Amino acid sequence: MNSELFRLAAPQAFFPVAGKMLPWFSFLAGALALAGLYVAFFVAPTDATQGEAYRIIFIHVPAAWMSMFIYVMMAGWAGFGLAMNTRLSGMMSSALAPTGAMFTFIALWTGALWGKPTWGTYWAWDARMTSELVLLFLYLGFIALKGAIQDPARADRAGAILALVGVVNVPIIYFSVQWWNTLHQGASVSLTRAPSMAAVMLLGMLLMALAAWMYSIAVALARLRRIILERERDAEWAKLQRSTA
Amino acid sequence: MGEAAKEHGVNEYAFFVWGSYGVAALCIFLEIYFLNRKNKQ
Repeated sequence: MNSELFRLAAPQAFFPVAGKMLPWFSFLAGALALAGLYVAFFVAPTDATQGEAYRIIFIHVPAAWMSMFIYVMMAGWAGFGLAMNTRLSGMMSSALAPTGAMFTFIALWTGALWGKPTWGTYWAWDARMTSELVLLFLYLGFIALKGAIQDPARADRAGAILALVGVVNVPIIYFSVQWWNTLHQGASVSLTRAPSMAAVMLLGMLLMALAAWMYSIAVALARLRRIILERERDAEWAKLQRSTA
Repeated sequence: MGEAAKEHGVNEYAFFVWGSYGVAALCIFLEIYFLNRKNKQ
């Protein structure tokens, strides 16, 4: 079991495995998104106070969850690569960053469009919103830093340090609504207490969150395969792979 | 339409909800498009 895991840490060994997993995660993402959107738009009732605008929750909350989760995963892989000197870890972190940045942007955008009809403003320099914006800058900084360094090993090390320093922002985002008086509401869903929303709304939100999760894995695997081929371009197996693709 | 939207005098379903889902769908489309384009290079 352990030797199999070590074998998969080699980019050459992981490349075909990622290719096999990709269609499954893509299919799951599509199916879960369809089910989630059906519940969001055709099953969940209109909210008594917010009207139809509350339906933004089905995209906003999953995007916000993924923005934080992907950052932790990205920093985890980057840190693992820094400690263990494994090439695939750095590639994993590079593969995750653009998707994390995209979900952060979606969370900010949908939050602004939800804020206007409910709070009367698109934006406020509130702790939750500001720390989420900082997360977007961290993602963009990570991508830019890695792109600016030609040597992949040095790029991975520099990126890992930035990712690990930036991970402190994730608990700040999550707990900001408890630590400070924010315009943003507190968490509706928590592991420690019952959700403060109707079951059907929660179902739609969880389906969309699972879809976002599957999508992130699928896209990260597809991007990882490209990064592996780029970095291993001088290896015989990669040349063979490119010629047959 | 909710009370807040009536106050603002906008069709919240069209603007706020579709503005959110539309931009999210566009982001996902662009991510997949650029990924496929790079994969083909």
